[in-house]
Formats: sequence, structure tokens, C-alpha cells
Amino acid sequence: MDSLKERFYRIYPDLKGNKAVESFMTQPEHQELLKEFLTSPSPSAEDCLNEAFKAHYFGIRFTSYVSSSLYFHSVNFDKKIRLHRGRQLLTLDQPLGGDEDGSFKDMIPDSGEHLTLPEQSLEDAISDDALLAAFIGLTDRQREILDLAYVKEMNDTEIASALGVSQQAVSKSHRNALTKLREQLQKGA
Amino acid sequence: MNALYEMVKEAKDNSLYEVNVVRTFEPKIRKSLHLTQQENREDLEQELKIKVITYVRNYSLEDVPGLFDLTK
Repeated sequence: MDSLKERFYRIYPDLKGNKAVESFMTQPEHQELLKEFLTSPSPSAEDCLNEAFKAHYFGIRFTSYVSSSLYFHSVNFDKKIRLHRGRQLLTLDQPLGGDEDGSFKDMIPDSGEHLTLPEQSLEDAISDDALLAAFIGLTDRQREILDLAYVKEMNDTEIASALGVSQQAVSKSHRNALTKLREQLQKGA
Repeated sequence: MNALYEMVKEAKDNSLYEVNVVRTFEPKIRKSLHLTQQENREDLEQELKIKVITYVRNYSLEDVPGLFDLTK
């Protein structure tokens, strides 16, 4: 195959070292055309070779043209947007001014933390129907203890002093209540 | 035959095929999107696709030199 190239370059010495021509020669289907052109030079063979090279060269040129254009366009696009944003700041993005850092955005109060309403009883808080039914089935005392333990987050000792009973009694009915709830749930499931 | 050459040639005859060229350059477009911030990427993507289509329309196939034009 190398001899083909040599022969070709002997006829067209200008093309030697041309990268597009070199890469064109590496593809087998182009070498076929080249062989045909060199063995029996005719206008049609020349045309075929020329067309194939045109397509090959176009591929290279167009790809590099589009690639670099896309790159520069992206860079310019980003620059333009930054410039625009710098000039047309949204009110909240504007700096506070004075010596203070930050923007007006930092001054917005967080309204999210006030959104959760404190539940008074577990009855309002339980969303599972089966669990709610089981909870209502507990005794008044058990429900009161669970409310204090999970809504007010008190420990057994605090509950005991609030209700005026011993800590052991609270602990016991707490445990009984949970056991009952679990039994009810497992029965339902 | 070079696939891109065929594709562009087709696209010039029938603009329905332009989308094929855009699809070919999709990876390059996606890479270019990283040059701007997240919130502007969709805009840029659209711009770049339009660009590719205008390149296809404006790039002259005849201006590509043939093998023997290079000898001069």
C-alpha cells in the first residue's frame, strides 16, 4: 500500500505532508480509489477520487468549524447572561449596601418553622386508621400517659409527679398501653 | 463516503434531515452546556441547536477544495 502512496506523492509532491491527505489515505476504501486512479488514470477515476476526498475533507472541516463555533458561542452566551444579570439585578439579589455583606435575600425571615401546629393529643397526630382505633380503645389513663410521653415529651418521672402517682405505676401502664396497641395492630394486619 | 458529508448533503436538499446533523453534534452540545450555569442550560441548548442548523444551511459544499485543488 505504501508504494501506492509513494507513487501518488511522486506525481503530486505538493500534497505530501498535508494532514488531510494523509488521513484520507489511511482508509481502505480510499486506497482502492487511489489504486484505480494510479493504475488506469481516467477522468472518471479522477472524479471518484476527487469526490471521495471532498467528502472526507468536508467532514474534517465541518466538524472542526462547528465544534469551535459551538464552543465560542457558548462562552459568549454565558458572558452575555452574566453581563445582563450584573446590570439588571433582581431586587432581592441586590447587595444590602453600607458595610454589610450579603443581599436582601438574606433578610427574608424563615416562615417554615412556625408552620407546624403543636398537637394537643396523639388522637390528632395519628394518621393511621387502625392505630387510631386501637388508641381510642385504650383507657383514659393510658391515653393521658401516652400523650404526656410523646406529645409533651416528658419522662416517666415527670408524668408521675404530674399525675400524682408513682413512677413505677406510670411505667407499667405505659408499657401495657404500648403492648395493647401492638396487639391490636397485629390483629388487624 | 464520509457520513457527515452525506448527512449535510441530504439536509440541504430536505430540511427534515437537518435534525440528523443536530443529533450528530449532540455530545458536543451537551459538553458546551457546562460552560454556563445550570439555570441557563436549556436556553443555551436551544441556541446551539439553532446554530448547528444555520451552519448546515450556510456552509457551502462547493467551497470544499477537491484533492487536485490542493496541488496549486
